[in-house]
Amino acid sequence: MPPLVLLTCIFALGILAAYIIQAGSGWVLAAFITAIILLATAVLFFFQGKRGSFIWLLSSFFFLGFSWMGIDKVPFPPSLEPFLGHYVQVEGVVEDLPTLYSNRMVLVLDTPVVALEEDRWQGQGKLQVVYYLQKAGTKAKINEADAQLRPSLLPGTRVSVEGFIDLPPKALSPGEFDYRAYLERHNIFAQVTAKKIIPLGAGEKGLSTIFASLRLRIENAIQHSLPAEGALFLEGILLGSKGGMTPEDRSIYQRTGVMHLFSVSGLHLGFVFIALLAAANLLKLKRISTFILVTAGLWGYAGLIDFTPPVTRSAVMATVGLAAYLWQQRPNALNSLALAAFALLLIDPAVLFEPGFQLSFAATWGIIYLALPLGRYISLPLGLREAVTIPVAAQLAILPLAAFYFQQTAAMGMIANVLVVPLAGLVVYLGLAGMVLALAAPGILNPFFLTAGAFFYPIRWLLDLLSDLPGAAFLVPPPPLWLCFLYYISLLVLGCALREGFTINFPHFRYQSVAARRLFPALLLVISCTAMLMTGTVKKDPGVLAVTFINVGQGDAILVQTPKGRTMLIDAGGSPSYSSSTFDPGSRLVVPALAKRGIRKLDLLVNSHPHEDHLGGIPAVLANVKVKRFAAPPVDHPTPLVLKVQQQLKDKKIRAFTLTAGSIKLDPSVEISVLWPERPLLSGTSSDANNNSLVLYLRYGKITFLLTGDLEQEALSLLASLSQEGKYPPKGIRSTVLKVPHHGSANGICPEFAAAVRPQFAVISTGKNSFGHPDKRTILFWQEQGARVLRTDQEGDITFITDGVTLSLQN
Amino acid sequence: MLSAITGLKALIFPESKGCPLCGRQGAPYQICRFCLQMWADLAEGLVPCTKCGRFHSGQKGEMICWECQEDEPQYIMSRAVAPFEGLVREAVHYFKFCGRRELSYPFGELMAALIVQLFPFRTFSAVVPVPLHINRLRERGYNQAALLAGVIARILEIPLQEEALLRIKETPSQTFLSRQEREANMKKAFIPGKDALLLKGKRVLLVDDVYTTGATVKECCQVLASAGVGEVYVVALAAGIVKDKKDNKPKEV
Repeated sequence: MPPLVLLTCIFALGILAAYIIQAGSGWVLAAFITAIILLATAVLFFFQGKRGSFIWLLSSFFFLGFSWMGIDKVPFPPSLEPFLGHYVQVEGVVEDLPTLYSNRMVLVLDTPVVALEEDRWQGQGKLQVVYYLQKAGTKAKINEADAQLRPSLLPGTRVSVEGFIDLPPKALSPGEFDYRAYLERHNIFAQVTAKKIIPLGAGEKGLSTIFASLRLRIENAIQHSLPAEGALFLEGILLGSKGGMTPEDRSIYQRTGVMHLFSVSGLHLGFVFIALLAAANLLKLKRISTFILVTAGLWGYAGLIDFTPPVTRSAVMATVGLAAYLWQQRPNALNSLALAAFALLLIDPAVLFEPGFQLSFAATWGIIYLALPLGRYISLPLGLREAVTIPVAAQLAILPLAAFYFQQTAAMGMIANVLVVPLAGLVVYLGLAGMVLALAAPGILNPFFLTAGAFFYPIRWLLDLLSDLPGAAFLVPPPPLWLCFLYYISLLVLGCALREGFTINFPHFRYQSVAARRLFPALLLVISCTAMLMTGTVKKDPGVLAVTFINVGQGDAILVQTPKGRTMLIDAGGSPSYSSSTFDPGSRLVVPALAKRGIRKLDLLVNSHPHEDHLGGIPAVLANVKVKRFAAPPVDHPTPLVLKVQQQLKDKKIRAFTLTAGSIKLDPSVEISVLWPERPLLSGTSSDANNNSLVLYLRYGKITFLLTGDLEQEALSLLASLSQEGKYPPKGIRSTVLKVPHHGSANGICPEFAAAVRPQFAVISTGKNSFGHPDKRTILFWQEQGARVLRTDQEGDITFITDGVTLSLQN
Repeated sequence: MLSAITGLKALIFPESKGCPLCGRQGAPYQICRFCLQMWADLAEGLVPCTKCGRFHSGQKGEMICWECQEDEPQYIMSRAVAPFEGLVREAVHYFKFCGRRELSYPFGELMAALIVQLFPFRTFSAVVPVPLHINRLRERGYNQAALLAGVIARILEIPLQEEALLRIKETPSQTFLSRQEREANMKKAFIPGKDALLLKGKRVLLVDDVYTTGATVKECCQVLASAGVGEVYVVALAAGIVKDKKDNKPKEV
């Protein structure tokens, strides 16, 4: 193994160890001293020419990694706590060019000073500022004042910000992306939702300021030359900005496995490298000047992309490769890859935990380690062979990571990449020419960008086509760690067998090298691991009833898994369209929650009523999960969202029907009755849509669940009186678990209803909202009724598991 | 300072050890596919004798070389990896005379693969190397056959019996001697060692580096047989090529 691979792995192991045990400063200091001593020993041994100096170096790197992670870590400042949740004034220095999303702008402030009336806070750590852009409608352009704001916020600028400061959202359910932890790793402790941002004047111009202004210039040129869609695409490919991507775009790119095109890496730098090397050859430059010219070009480009892990990785590897070429050394790609990883970890050890870093390095490792030897087994002409082996190798190498982070496997990924990557290469090639022109002559219509942008349409057409194919991508549960580990070990052995294995036929016997003898077992292991990754380890017949209230923020999403393995989902959350949020709980929370449980097929998808916080996530569910039947109440509510869902149902040929009081057959052991709405539907109430919500009553043995949608007082009292009249034998609507109606709104308080239900548990499914859900009175009301109140915004996903006799709670 | 630079250079542009024979980059401590292919090419068109494992033209369609036909050795059978010619000869010389004892691993590994394929379903009770005279051992520092036997024993998980044979006669190098002279030379060269009794009635694997005329091996077999060892199989890294007999016509089988 090349030496740097070993050193970097050990260094990363040290970082991991420090992260896991949350090393305090004492530990870090001790580790640092140990590392220095070991390092000194290694150096001494090396100069004395003694053996074993490398072992000392290795052990020193473990402690170095350990202390490096600790040194970089700033603990959360408790003194900041009193400010949280208040409207404050913040002053600070902009760290990077603000990131632009379709509805908001995000920037990081260094050395912030937080002021709340007389009190001030100043200390180590950074703040993140989120500024929601003022828009007239969903598709409208950003207004002029906001459009001007970003160019004035170059790195180094001092700004004053006013807004609410609070902690970033935290992951409540296991496996969910923890945004707070992510920011904390970058020493960002709080988030300011800004109402006002005022630049106070440029600070000193650093390198990052120059890069940012160049980047702005290129962005402007792209936007001037192309319509919005094309501009977004080209900015994504050339500059790696993914902010403007809509959830639909994102889902299509992810389903076809071409998301990597939007992170600038080897493909891009390869073109820069070749172009500059050719130029240097033309100019007949000497070795040193060639080296300077090419590396300046590479690192300049990397600077424009803000030194993200993939671009830095590529730049380091290209630089080492160039040096090897010019000074006639033998380049070792794995060693260069390790050098790049080491450099990135040295700059920021926390980057080790970033999906972008892991995916980028895993894919490159796959290409280096597997693509070439794979090619030996495929008889295709050169060029065509690489077009097959490289995507295959990269996909193999990221399989568990993709399953882990996206709960998705892009089965079409290999085909999509083989078709699209050459086209994307052309786009990059033209785009780079365009960038040079844009920097040289800003303000003119850029022919290169124009041509490059035109490629958007065929590429997008192709990807749309591929992603719509059945089985293009399917959900996979996040794999357990041991499986990831086993997969990579067997892939490593397989790669080694492919690379180094050979068979020689002597006249009297056949010699298979040691590595070649491992080929077959390793292949078998990789295949079985892959099969396990794809299917997950889910029991088909769990024998218990599980009801999960998925935390989707403000909204409902309730998953029912019956003892016979049938599945029903009631609502899928959703963000209200009038808010500026583009967050889609359906694709970001509900689909992963299903994937995590190994659910790829829903026997029944129910929409309690057509409001956005119940229906909004359903398009994503329909797109990603196979749904057998769809049911909704017979409410006429033709919003664009409802029409979209209806169209989707028609396209996918899913049987849809309306439900009123009656019963549903899903699993013979669980009795599911529909209690509401009764015909004729209510009308003229405070909200007819809410009052005609579907109400489901689940009974499994002695345990019962009452799921009430967004029912309000009018319907609740009617339901209660029906129950009193004995409409629902044998026990009326008595329930063990109640989903509190309407996210805990005060209009769901109804004493007669409570008297009829008498729940042990009252679950409130809610999140950040502007309605004041849940009402304090509601919580108090249900507590007084003797129920234990559980809230998804506090507990995360809430799962009840019952065998029909006892009930257990998991969250 | 200079060593610091070379040290850094070795970190960034590492040179792996590569093939121990040709230096080509690849898995360290393993003979590369190109060298081995050349070894195989040396044996091209030759057939190994089913008795002594030496290579012969096999032109007359016979399986046993004429030497074995005239004078059948005592062992059950003997096999070698490649003919003792050209590159193989060079490699063996590195191993024997240039102190390249680390070559024992790849060589032993090759021999183990050969044993697994050509002596299948045979369980050996011990691996016995052809011993070296004590003076020669002091001079060279190691017994190449014992090193090979050690590697084979480790890979095939058979006990190693280094003390089963003892060399008591210091014979000059055999390289320039004729067949008759070698045989005469070898007479009374070995005696059973202190572990020979353990091998009574057992099946053993005798390991030598090169099988040229078979004089050494035959003598060892004689001694082992006299000590009561049951069956002897022989394995060598290289074996000579039996030239077609010029004067005498080979006997019909």
